[in-house]
Amino acid sequence: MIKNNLNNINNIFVYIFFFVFIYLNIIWILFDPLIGSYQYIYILTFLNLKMYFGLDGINFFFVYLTSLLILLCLLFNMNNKYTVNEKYKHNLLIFSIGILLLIVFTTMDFLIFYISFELILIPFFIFIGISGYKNRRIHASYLFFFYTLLGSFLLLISILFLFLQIGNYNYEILWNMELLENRNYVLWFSLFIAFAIKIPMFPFYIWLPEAHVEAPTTGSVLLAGLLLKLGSYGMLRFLLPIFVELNYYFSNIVNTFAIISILFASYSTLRQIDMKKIIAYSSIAHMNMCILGLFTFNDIGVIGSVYLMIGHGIIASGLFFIIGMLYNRFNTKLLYYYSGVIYYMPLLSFFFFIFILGNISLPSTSNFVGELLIIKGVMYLDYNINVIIIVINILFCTIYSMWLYNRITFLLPKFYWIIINDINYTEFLILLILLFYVFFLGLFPNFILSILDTCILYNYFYILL
Amino acid sequence: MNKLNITTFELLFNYYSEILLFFILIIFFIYLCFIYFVYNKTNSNEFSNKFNNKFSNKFSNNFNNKKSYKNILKLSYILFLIIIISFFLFDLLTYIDFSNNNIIILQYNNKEYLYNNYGNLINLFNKTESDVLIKLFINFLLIILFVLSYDYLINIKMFNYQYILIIGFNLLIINLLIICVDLFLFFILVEIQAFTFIILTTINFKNQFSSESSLKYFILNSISSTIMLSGIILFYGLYGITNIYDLKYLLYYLNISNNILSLHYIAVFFTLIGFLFKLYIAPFHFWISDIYNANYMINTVIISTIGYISLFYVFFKFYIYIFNINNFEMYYVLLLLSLMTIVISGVCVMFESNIKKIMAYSSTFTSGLLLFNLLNNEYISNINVIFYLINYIVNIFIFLILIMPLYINDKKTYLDNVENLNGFYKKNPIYCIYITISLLGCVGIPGTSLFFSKLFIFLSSIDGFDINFVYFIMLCTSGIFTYLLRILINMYFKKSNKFNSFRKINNINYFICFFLIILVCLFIFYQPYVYYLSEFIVSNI
Repeated sequence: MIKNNLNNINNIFVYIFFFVFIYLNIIWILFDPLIGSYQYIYILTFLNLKMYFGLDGINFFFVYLTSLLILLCLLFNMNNKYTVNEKYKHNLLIFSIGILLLIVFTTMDFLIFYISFELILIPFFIFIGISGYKNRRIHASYLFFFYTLLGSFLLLISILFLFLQIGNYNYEILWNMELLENRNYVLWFSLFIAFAIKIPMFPFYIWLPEAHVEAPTTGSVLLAGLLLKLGSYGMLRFLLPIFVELNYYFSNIVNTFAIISILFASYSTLRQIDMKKIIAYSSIAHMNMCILGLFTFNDIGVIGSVYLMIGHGIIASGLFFIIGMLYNRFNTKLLYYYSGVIYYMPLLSFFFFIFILGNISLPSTSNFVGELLIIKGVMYLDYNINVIIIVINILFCTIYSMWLYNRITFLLPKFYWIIINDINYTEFLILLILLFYVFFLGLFPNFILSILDTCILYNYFYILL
Repeated sequence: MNKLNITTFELLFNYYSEILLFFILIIFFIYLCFIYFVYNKTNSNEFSNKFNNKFSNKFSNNFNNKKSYKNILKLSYILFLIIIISFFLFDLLTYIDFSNNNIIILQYNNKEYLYNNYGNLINLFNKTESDVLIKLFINFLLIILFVLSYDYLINIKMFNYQYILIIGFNLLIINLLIICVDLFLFFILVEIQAFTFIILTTINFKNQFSSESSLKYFILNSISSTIMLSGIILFYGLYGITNIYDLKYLLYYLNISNNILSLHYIAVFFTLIGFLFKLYIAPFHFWISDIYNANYMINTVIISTIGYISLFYVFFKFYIYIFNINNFEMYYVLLLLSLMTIVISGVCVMFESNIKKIMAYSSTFTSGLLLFNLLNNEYISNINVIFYLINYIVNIFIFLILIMPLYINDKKTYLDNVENLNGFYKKNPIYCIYITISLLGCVGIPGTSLFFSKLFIFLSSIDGFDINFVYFIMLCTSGIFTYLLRILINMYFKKSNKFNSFRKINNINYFICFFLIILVCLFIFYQPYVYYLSEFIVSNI
């Protein structure tokens, strides 16, 4: 009886997110690409509290990404070798994280943004701590909680300060305000550090690889795909529209930190042994590319960075899924033990190859469009160093990702005495869906760019259509 | 002045509950002493040999074995509970009007009749509406504590007539302390209350820490109280008055701020030292962790919640009436002290593994935060202080009550270290979830009741102070978050020790803890009502 009930509850989680996913697909079709402001607004009244949730051109794709990835995580747990109780716990945590992420991306109040921004820490903290057998996981969860908690404290103070300035928690009033005091500088820095911890930028990056290594595969998918985007989304919502002059004033600092973190991440990836750490460091590099794009002050650069966030969310999560599938079969994440996977898992190595190509940002994959637009946006600014850095990053990215792929798939197999099956139908389905999105975003970018372009022009460059 | 004619009898109507409590406790005291006397005499051989009269024979049958004595003690314990509950209900029904949705109707508010000479009682005590609310709150906490701790008291072999008497005496004095208006009387009552706490710390005489810490408490308390007494004497010497209403009238309404003597500041400083010692503000914080640690858990609950709220409330009242005025010189000292407490408690919590000491440092942190907000000198910040205090006390009380009955069988000790909680989730998941909910409440994570009060406090402090102070405090609060993480890690992630096995928890505890957790969860949604109550307290103080 208990088993049946738990399975039913697991199914309910899947149904809810499936419904949300289909609903968002319909909205994408009905979305008006000529309107820059909020299009779909939902008002919830709950115990004298009125909460506004809205869908915008900017946040729509983040919401779409959450519904997709959480659905895939729930699907992945179906086939995972957990007991019924463990599976229920994991699914509950994933579901709660998903609901909170939907709230974060869709709110129009920045108090609710803060509350759900900080509440995500608790289920994810438990998520890292429960799974795994190493004692290192406790340290990892502790680091994760603390770094992000410090960031959220700084966020809280700045939010309260903004509230005292405008007397309301609404976004749309926030974007139209002007700050004329000297306290701006402090406020800008506190907001920037709060979001820079989440991305993560150079001095605050250390929690990410630790958390990635100790989290389960679904956890690292959520981390790379969604939680890192919270920082860049916060920058899109808070830093860019409010502090127009200060962003330009501080853009040199931001660019230097982003460059340092890109170089640092791409160099340190070359010496990693752990498969998850390689992808984690590469995701640091990619996310900092997004920040270079955000601070170009062109529409092209900003659009490219948003595009890269979405593309990176799909490709990194696909890579983490593949690593999880390998881990379920061999129980190691170390590169040293792997070789010749192609002999007994041809399907998986095919998918792996395509996702690796996506990570390199080959033309016709999703990351290519984003990086191209970012490079074009940076070119306008005459920051030639940035262009060089991006090119170096692409070069290093090819080196380490091809090296990773070669080590795992080719050479003679070390485990030739073990009979191992290729991927299941469900795993195949997960990878196929992600593969579809990789090529869809790469080959037909206008489906997204048409919506993003008007929205960014409307919000940040004051061009009314 | 004598416009209204009111008899003294009508004025005394407000103090019915205190007077009744006083007499009933005296009767209860005599009753318990009589039982103990008879029990001792019948059991000792000398008595039975010397006097074989009828008196001893009658009671010797009843008191032959310890079981009968314990049964009578149980009865008396229940009687004590009934007394507390009846007084709680008495106050609730007399002062609160449920029919009209008015919170409180006092028959005669004594502030108006203060300057009429109706006897000394009115100059010493004054019962306002906010006093009644705080009193009801304290009584409510005591009732829950003593319903739950019956089994606990038997287990630690503390189920004596003495313990019940000490608690009853303490309750009486707290009831008087809240009402008191006079500085001298306040000094006397605080000393007696501290003395009851000293006895509570010594009662655990098998533990060597307890005797040490009680001695420490006694000596340090006496030193601080002498300084406080000298401050009060200076007040009396300067103005000839010790009533706080009169003092406020002198200092505020009569314009003597230009002619103020420097002795006034010394008087304020000395009296404040006594207060700050009792509220664990930074240079005087070092004693509290030892005292929390040495006590039994039930005594730490009493000291940390009931003792703390009564003292803070009186400090709040006196601060608003006396120390608030002309305190520009004191302002920077108090600001520095409050920031110091916040830093010290934030740092000390990081490396602490004892649960009681952790709670001690967290309460020092709150007192620093509240003092910081009191310095704002605004009506809204005062409301926020009381709002935070009520929320914090509720959360910490429930956490301590949940921890209280956990008893490790093989070590035969009650739980005090965090490492004893290792792997508790696998053994008792429901109780573990209760503890986590209350812990999240204690820290003030968003979504809990304490978060809103924290939000308001930071809002008012950003408005009143420099923003850099607020950044500074926020960094220190991250230290407070460490204890939450440490307890959660120990409960959920770590494996249990081989020999740890927890005692079964009573059904009553489960039942009441369930309701308490529901109360906490409901508390989140009725925060506007709590805010209204705290505003009521501040406006009617």
